[in-house]
Amino acid sequence: MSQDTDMLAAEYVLGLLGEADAARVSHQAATDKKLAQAIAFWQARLDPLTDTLTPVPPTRQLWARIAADTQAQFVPATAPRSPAWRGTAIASLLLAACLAAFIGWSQFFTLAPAPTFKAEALLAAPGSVVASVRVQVLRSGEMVIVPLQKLTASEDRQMDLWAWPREEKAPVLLGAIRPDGGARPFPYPPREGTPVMITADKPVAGAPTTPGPTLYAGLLTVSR
Amino acid sequence: MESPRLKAVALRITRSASVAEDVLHDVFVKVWHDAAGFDPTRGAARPWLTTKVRFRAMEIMRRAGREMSGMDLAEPEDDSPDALTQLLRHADGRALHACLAELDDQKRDFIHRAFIKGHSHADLATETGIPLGTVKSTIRRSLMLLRRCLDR
Repeated sequence: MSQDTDMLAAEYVLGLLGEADAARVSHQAATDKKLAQAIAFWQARLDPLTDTLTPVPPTRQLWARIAADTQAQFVPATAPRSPAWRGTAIASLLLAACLAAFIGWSQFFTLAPAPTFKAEALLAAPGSVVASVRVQVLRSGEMVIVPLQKLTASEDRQMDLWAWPREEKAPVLLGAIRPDGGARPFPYPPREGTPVMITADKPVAGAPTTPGPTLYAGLLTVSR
Repeated sequence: MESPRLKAVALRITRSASVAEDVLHDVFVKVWHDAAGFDPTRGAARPWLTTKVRFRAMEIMRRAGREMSGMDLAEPEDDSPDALTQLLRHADGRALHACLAELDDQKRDFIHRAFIKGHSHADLATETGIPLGTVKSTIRRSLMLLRRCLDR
């Protein structure tokens, strides 16, 4: 990568460019992979500077405004085409975690004053911020899968529910799920941040040992 | 939680609690409607969101002019020299802290003001009384030094 490209990316990320130049760089980055990589580098490396700021909680009015402007905007999710489930899953988990934390999902979805579940995860399709599935771990140790929209996998695949508890070295299969959800035992302590995902797996004799492409993914949030 | 961090980011640029909340509102609603805009192959979600918040805040401020009438008072600023030591809490921050420490005070200050306060080249020149051309070349040298250090 040329130094000019790198410096252009750095100045863009710092916000030093004028409006027209910034728009041009943004447009160019859509097709220029090296420029896009340089922008991602500077975004990631400078981002820790924001940790030097004292956090300021948003007001409840902000959540109400966002809810008013986004409610009932659920859109159909589609299965990812890439078989590289791991990278996609991790990226989508991170996005889901960021956005779930950002919007304060619990303010939308936990309407009961005292939750009857121990933990829940809102699963979104990779690249989407729209929750497609709600998964709750009940106090009984059962995991309930509630579709928020129609769940689909291609005809030659079945939908499996996986989790990756921290005591396991790899994701563990919790079982196949139906398009209308269902329930499964969750034989682990429900911990904050445990990845949960639904994948499209090829039916095999016995049970799949590795997840197929990720359809929906999210992180467990323990109820307080 | 990401939202208090993101509000602090918007607040430092806009210096207004209400405008900062407008920024968060605009960004989240846009992200909600345009989820495909996030490409996980091009970087992690957290810096992507931070950038969206910073750019929206800077866009509002630059379009309105820096002196917005009726601006309500923002939170007190924490620009003490100790603020950068907060970077030491995380591995990514430690690398950045070490590299910023290699810059002289002026170079470090320019990078910090641009990223945290959303100051443009012209803002920095006006605030410091340093000619615009000198500000631009100083920042470019700072970024080249930072890049060299961060690549080590």
